[in-house]
Amino acid sequence: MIVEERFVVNAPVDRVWNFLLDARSLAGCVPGCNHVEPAGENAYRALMKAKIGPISANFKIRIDIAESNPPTFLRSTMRGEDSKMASNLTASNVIELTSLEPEKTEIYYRSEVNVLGRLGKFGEGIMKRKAREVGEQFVRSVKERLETTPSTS
Amino acid sequence: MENIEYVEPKTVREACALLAKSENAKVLAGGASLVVLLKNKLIFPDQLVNLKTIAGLDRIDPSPEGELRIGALCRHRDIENSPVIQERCEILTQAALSIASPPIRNMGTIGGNICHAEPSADFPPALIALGATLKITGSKQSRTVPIAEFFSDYYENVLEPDEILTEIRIPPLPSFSGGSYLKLNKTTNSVAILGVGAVIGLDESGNCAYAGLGVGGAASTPLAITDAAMLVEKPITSSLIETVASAAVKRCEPISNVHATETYRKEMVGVLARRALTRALEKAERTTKES
Repeated sequence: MIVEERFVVNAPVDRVWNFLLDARSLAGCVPGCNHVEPAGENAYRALMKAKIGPISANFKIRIDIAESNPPTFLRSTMRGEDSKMASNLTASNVIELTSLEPEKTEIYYRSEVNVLGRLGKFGEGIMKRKAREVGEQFVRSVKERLETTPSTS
Repeated sequence: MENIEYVEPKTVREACALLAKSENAKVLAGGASLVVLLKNKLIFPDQLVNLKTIAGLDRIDPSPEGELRIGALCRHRDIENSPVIQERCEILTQAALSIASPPIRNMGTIGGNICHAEPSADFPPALIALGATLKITGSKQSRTVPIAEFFSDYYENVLEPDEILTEIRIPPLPSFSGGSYLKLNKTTNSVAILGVGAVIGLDESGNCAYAGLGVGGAASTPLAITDAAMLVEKPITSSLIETVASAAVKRCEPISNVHATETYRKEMVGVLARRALTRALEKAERTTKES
């Protein structure tokens, strides 16, 4: 399933780039994502929780930055598994930044997510709706943090 | 299914106390939904609290105030075969009959069906149309919640961990009333893609005295279409029904999946709402003539 969104934040492109590349600050904006730690060069490990009704998934994920062209383009891949649920998650993500004005940046992200295994039974419809909710919260958090925290650079 | 403690409380109070103590317990009513989740290893509770050993939760009683009280442990089959339900709120008989197959209807309960909070479950739209309230009992107190406010998200409801749904209460309807539950599904036994319930009550002069409309399968929860209230205190016309049906479509946010696309679901909510309201009105008018 594909999840994508385009939104504008009131912050300069360099600051947005640094924010999104800092795994901890980025993870702070993804609901259910925690325990982010570096796993070698351009790679991170994290735990990601997702819940639909009584069913909870806890994915151990690894994120690899596959291609980066500062401060405008980032491609990453994500692989994760929840052994209890015998399920796997893979995602291929693209982030593009466009500087609209010195203090205004457009963020575009596109994520192609696949869930396999028992959780895959859940049907794409509900998962996509949930993913959209996660996406909306992500946008809100990114805007909130970038637009309220004073620049440290 | 390993290491699950199975308990059989004898009273509601005992069941609530067990739930209050447990961190990860699940309530077992009929098991039609829960056992599927367990078998598919999608949930891992520490404890199963079986309500079937509690006496008195499977009654169907008209109260002196005219309410109909349905115990949460009534099986779909009990609802389907109940003469009092058939007489007072036939829409529930229709909803019960539309659920899966007889073996499943012999197993599943109305309380379980509601609490599982499947967005397209059959009872909720019919109960929303009837204006039902739910009696909820907890370890410290009891409360009632209108069914329209019971669902919070996909497969989620407002119950606290120590609370149990014990009874469904159907308020009295005007003397001349009719209801209709219509379901869109692939085969007779399959889960609803959409379910729409409509109830209409008329006064002596033929004006609308009550109108309720519920829609399942068209959002993350069953929906109460409050726009149906615009029918009240007027003679119902087909154009008014059309307006309510269009309002119902606007309130829907369905998903797309292999069974039906978002656009198709929305279109069909309009069609089913119009048909259900029209049939409910026809039945209500028939009762006026019979009297």
